[in-house]
Amino acid sequence: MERDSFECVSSLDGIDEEEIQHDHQFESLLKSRNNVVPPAPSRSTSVHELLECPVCTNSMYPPIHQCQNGHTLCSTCKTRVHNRCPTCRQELGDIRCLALEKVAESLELPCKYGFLGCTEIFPYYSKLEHEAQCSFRPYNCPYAGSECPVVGDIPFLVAHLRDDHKVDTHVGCTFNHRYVKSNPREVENATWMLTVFNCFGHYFCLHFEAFLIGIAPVYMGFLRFMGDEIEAQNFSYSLEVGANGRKLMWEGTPRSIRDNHRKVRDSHDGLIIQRNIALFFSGGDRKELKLRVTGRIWKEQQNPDGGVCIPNICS
Amino acid sequence: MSSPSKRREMDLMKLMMSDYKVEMINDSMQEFYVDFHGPKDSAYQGGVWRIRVDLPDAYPYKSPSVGFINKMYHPNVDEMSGSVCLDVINQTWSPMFDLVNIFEVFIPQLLLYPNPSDPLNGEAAALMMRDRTAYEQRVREYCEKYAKPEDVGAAQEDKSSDEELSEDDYASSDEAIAGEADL
Repeated sequence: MERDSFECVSSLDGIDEEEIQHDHQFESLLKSRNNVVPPAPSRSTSVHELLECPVCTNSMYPPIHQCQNGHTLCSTCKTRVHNRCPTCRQELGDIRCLALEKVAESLELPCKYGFLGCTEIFPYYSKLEHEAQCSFRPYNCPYAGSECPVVGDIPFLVAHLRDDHKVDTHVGCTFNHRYVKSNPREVENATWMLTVFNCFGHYFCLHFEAFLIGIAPVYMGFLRFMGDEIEAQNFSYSLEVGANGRKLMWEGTPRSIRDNHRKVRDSHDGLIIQRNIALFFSGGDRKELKLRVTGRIWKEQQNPDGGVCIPNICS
Repeated sequence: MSSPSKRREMDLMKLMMSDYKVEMINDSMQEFYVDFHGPKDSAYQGGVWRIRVDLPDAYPYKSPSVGFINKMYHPNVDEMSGSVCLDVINQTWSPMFDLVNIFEVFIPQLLLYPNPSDPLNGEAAALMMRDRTAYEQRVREYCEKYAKPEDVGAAQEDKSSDEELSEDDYASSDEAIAGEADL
């Protein structure tokens, strides 16, 4: 039987039908001889496995290290194994595995968020860069009360906020909130509130909280869009608070939940109310904080003629 | 994902795929219980132990800490605390080892071949060196008394009831009163 000529390919898509046919013949031959089925061949997968650090299991990027017996290790792990090869316990030294680095250069691999919908394929060394910015990458939980480690897509996070963090979810583009606090002297980062709104087929997080700017206590409200920055640009929102014939108003574009809560808060991108004004709005003896925050979300629609944005306010 | 956390997830997954019953503590991937069956052809055969595993932040560079929850009679296991004296976990750990190694190789080997010269349970070590048959009989008694499948859940409840009580004490109620919605 004539042997097929194999071409070195960098992704599974490159294996042609003839080659697969040959592998099937080889498989059935083995099967008939000793009932052993060999694992399905996948050259690029096995090369990819070679590029997996045996300790942390992450993909290895230059400099790839090896011990004098040839066992490879990524540069992160090398700093953490006290100069001993984890495989053979020999001293590591400073030997680079240049051959493996060269092999990596020739590889093309799919984005690791393929299971979430990304179909792109990248050269090995560009893959990491793309994955850090991939629009299909999962979102972090936007809950502000604790560093919640949960990640997922938007429907998953909405359910997680509702079920695990007991966050209220409302349908509609307008809101009317009361923020009541019996002791307004207590201004801590833990004093906050989060509500999720569903409108225009998207979800938005409304944050309202008390914190300190320097030593000045303030209250702040802001909106975050549950999606990417580009999509967030399609929406606008307004927040207003007032009483006794005075009114404070904020209008802006919601920030994406890609920007974490603290980053948005510390950039002061929202409605900020100084405590003395907040107490003035509360009325009465200024002993208790009672703020009524109203607002709405609208979609900026492109005018087909002049390209001017027309607000589309849902009722 | 930071390198240790990916490895942690993979090791836990491999452990579950190897048919070990794994029960998370507080939904974290750092602390969990594993149900371990005594190795065949040994005095421990038929016994089931609940083992608590704590993975340090630096896992796999640092070794996990492992302790028996229900009582175990063995020269290298502290009878009161359940902590294990095992060189491959404590001194000669390598980041190439994983959780499956611990439960399929290291602990079974320790139970099959105790090291009475470095004991945590002096009485068990002395009995083993003095009278192997009596030692194995005592092991079987402990298995019968403390390591039946139904003992596994009960042992955990006894040890964790204190923790569960203390968690409520620290629950913060700040968020609950922070605000309310009018819609």
